[in-house]
Amino acid sequence: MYDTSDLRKGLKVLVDGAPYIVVEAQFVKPGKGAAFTRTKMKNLLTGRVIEQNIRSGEKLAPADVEDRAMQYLFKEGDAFVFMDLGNYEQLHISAEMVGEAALFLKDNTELQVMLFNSRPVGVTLPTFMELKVIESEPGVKGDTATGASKQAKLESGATIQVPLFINQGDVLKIDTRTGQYVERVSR
Amino acid sequence: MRQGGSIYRVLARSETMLRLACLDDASERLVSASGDDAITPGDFVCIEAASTRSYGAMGKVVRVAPFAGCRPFPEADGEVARLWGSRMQRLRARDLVVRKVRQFFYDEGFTEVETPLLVPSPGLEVHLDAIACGSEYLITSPEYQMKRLLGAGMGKIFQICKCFRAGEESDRHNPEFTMLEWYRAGATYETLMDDCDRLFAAVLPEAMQSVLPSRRTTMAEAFAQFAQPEHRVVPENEAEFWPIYLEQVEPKLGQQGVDIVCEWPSYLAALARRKPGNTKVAERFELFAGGMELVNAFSELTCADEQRTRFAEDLAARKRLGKPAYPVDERFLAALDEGLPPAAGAALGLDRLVMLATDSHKLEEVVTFTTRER
Repeated sequence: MYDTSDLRKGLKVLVDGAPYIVVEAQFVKPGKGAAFTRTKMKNLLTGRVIEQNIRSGEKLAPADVEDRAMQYLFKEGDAFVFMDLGNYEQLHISAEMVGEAALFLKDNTELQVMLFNSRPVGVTLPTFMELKVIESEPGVKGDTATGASKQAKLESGATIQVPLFINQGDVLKIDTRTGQYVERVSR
Repeated sequence: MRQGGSIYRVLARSETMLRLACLDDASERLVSASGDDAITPGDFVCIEAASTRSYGAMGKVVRVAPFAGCRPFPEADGEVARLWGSRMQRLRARDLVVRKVRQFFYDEGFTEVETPLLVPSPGLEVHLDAIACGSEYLITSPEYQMKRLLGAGMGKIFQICKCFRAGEESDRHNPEFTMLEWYRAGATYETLMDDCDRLFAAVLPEAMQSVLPSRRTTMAEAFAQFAQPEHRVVPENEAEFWPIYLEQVEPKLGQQGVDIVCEWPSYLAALARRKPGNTKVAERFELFAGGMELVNAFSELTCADEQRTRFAEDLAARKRLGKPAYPVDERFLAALDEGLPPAAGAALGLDRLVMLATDSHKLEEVVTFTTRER
């Protein structure tokens, strides 16, 4: 168990059964009042940030959360199969848990899988990934009516907005946090 | 042989220059490295000959004691690298602040006193936890002992001492911190508000004087001004008071200038007397500046019976909260029984005053070593 004095940025604790990471913790002690710690904590499952005042003396349970390096192998039915790079064991993660990250997944991608009580609860892609364009209409010169961009389908399945000069077969650098085009890596 | 000049530590050297730190005042200077080629960072040196100009001084640098260590100097996480520079400058600034504080009280005709730090009864305040030391305790504040001196005839006293409060650690707290307390017989807390204004004027640098004089409001006015519309009246009990005060009122205090909030609700009187003519409030004020609470002051409660009642209530509250019940300070009560003059007293967090005067944002910047650095 943690004491309020253990509350520091980065500590992972259980709140109402869900894992949270402490984003901010400030000890407050009014001259004649009871001490408490003013915290901001992020729910590791939903990303929602809550503010909570925790009285000094209260205990918090540590959240059994760890990030493990894994490699994406292949899709099997509705599940995605990963290999734990620490022990080479295979792990099935449901499409629901993988969520939107699935749109940028490509075989052999190395990424972080978050385990909560030893069960996978989410995957974090590398911030930048290089993906090949498998489908895109040729750009029309001078067509700026559409904001000088067009759609392109990537090998991983995502369809994103790209500049007009991008052609089928180009490899693009993508920011997986926003799903946006960053630059062309090679033709 | 060197004769009485300053000693320097060599912080770094290039082909042609040495960066030296003066051990007198923590200042740094660059000098030509002409002289002893064997001088290396970490060495203690002095400068021979007349010229000691800051840049390119032509004096000869002479080693007075070689640095024997074989590790690189200064190591990035070593003591010298960590403490040198701004921290040392702030400690010098702290010394100046403390001198000015002392001078202020000497000029006002106060006597400086030293009361025991190790006591059998550390104070019963519900939300202060003492640090035990053997079978006794370190003080959380010197107030009982200083008030006994008041009763014994010392009417204008001040003290700068260490106080100890278990579990208080943050950017503004350290379990061991420095307190300034002062007492005036025959005065009420209004006089102490004036003291604060003049003390701050004496201590703060020129550029900060515009924060003075303090703005003075009652707690009722502060709630009316800062609390949300449905909470504009000071609650009738402590449980309702704290959430609103801490969320809506206190964060607004001391953000621009110096704020004094007086007339606290009587359930937060601590050792303050009730206001004559309005017993719902106590003659207590807190002063806020730089977003920090700096001063807590009272017109002192001198009635022994009411003090006994409050001690009993505090003890009961401590037991309810599962906190250790410290022994009651009977000598303090006996002093009240024999009669205390009407008096007012203030406690000021000296580390925080130094933070304010030196524009520091963390307590650790203005103390030698925090609890974590011992």
